[in-house]
Amino acid sequence: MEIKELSFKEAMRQALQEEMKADPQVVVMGQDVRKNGGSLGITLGLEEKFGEDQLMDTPSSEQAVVGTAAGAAMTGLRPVVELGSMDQALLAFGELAHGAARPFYWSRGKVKVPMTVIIPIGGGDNPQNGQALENLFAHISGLKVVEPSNAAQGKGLLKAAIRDDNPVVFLVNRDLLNIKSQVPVEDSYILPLGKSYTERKGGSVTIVTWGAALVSVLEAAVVLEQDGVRAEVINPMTLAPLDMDPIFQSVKKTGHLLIVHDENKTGGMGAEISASVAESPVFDYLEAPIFRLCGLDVPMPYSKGLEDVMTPKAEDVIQSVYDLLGVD
Amino acid sequence: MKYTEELLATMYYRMYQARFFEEALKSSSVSEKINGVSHLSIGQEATAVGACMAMNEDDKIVMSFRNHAQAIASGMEIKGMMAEVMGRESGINGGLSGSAHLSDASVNNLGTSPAPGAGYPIACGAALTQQKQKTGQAVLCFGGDGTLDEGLFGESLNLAALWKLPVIFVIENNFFSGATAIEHHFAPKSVAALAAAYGVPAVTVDGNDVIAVHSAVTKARAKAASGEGPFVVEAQTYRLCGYDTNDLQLYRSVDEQKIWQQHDPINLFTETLIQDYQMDQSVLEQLKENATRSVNDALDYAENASDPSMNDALTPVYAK
Repeated sequence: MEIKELSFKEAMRQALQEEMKADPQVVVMGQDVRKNGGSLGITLGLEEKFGEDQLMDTPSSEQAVVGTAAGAAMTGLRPVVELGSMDQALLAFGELAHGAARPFYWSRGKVKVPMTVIIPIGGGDNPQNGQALENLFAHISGLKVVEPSNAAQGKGLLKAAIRDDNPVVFLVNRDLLNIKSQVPVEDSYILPLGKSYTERKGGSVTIVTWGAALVSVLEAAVVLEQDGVRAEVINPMTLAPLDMDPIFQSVKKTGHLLIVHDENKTGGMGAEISASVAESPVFDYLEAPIFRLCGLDVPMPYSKGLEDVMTPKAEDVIQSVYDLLGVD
Repeated sequence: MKYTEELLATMYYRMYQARFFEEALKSSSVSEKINGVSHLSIGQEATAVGACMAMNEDDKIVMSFRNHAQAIASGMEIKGMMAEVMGRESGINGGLSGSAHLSDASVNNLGTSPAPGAGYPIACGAALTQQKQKTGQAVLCFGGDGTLDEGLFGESLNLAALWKLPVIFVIENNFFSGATAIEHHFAPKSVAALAAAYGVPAVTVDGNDVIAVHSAVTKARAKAASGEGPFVVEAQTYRLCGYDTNDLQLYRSVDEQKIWQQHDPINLFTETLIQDYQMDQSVLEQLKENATRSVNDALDYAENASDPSMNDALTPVYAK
């Protein structure tokens, strides 16, 4: 498989381009997507290739746009919506939660709603509007929630999301957009939804993390390894439906579980993962209480220094691992 | 437009079916089997039937939550509807969706959204599919006057107008949003004035005159399907019943209701059919009787149907 170094943004553009070319029913819609690359810059250059048929500028009407995508998806299109920010996405929450997520169940599988909604999160634009709120979407039965951490995942998961016959919320962290990494360039490269990925093998402690937090965790894992602590890092990539099995297997092996996420602790996905482990037979293998390292329980503040203390950093991860292992 | 006796008879039959269907829901023996409430539209049958029958067979329909007459008018099968209202396994959606969210892909009926006005963009999306796939079909979307107050109505009109989507919004104006009269919930001068602000053409018709509704929606559909963009038809009508099966109707006078009872859409249509279309009284009686029988059959079917098994609650939420 041919590999190229691409930024997260370029990798997502490649995914869109490949899927739009492969299936003319894939229609990308969002504010400024035709001339200005949309809110994330990922649609830059697609205008010449696809034109208005598959690339549609929308007004700033998140509810109507998401509802329209749902109606289009029910009747034969495969829409990809790009929204401006998480706070704008909240305006469209209802159309996602009931317009898109429920018809499949209520119709006993007769109505499918294949659509993807890309929502920018994280800093960069206006960090205070960039909370992930991933748990809100994961709570809705019928929605899939995906949060990639790097360019290769961005590409492989976006392709899978577009091909999926369900409504998928695709969270893209602005802080990762320009980071380059190795990406398979073949059209056939795809990462299935609903599969956790073991980013790093180890036997001392299991760290479950996703999105931008993975960057801090992997940084910490390198430092820990120098100290003889081998962290096994598992990235669910898809937060709904959650693939717990690799987490269970890992905890069985390490006896220690640390969950790290940028989002607020209270009611976050970490609570769900923690409870699932505590409720499972794997509980008996735990040698210490489960530990959650999460964002602070406040709205995102504006000032850069305050933004930085909101989310876990590598040194916090290292400290948490030592606390968990009972090492001074 | 010339109306064939067959079309007129179908309209008449479906109006009576809708009326008897909802009268059955009001009866104590059925209403006690409804889990929650059911929204009724007795008195509004002409709008539902006139609008649906003006559409082509392959057009899509998005309903409002006052939807039984709309569902029947769209061709949904009433045995399955009745069983669904009672939450039975053989209901049209297996008892998962209930009265409020009837849908039936086999008659191109996309159903009802769970919140007021939430169906407008769904209809826009279905219309976008018709436009992109160049099917030549259009979408009919129902909404009550209460949903005009939702931001989604404006957002959807704007989007539909910008993209010239083939969608017809039929506003069933029954002059009440819940228990609040229209002058207390809707500030614009008229529905047409609101539509005009978005550049969307609109007509206002007597929603209790099924021929007037049919004729207006036929013209609107022709325009929408030919690429002229969306159209609004305001059909003025009146609920001759409560808001839902629990409504005590303390908010409006008996006199007002009496005036509208004089303007009952089914009585009006009966007169029209006899006077203007020379239809035989006995033919009309027969259609009415057939409608009664179909609703009784639906009641028998639903009463005798079994409840879903508990495992049906775990019907998959994801498509494979």
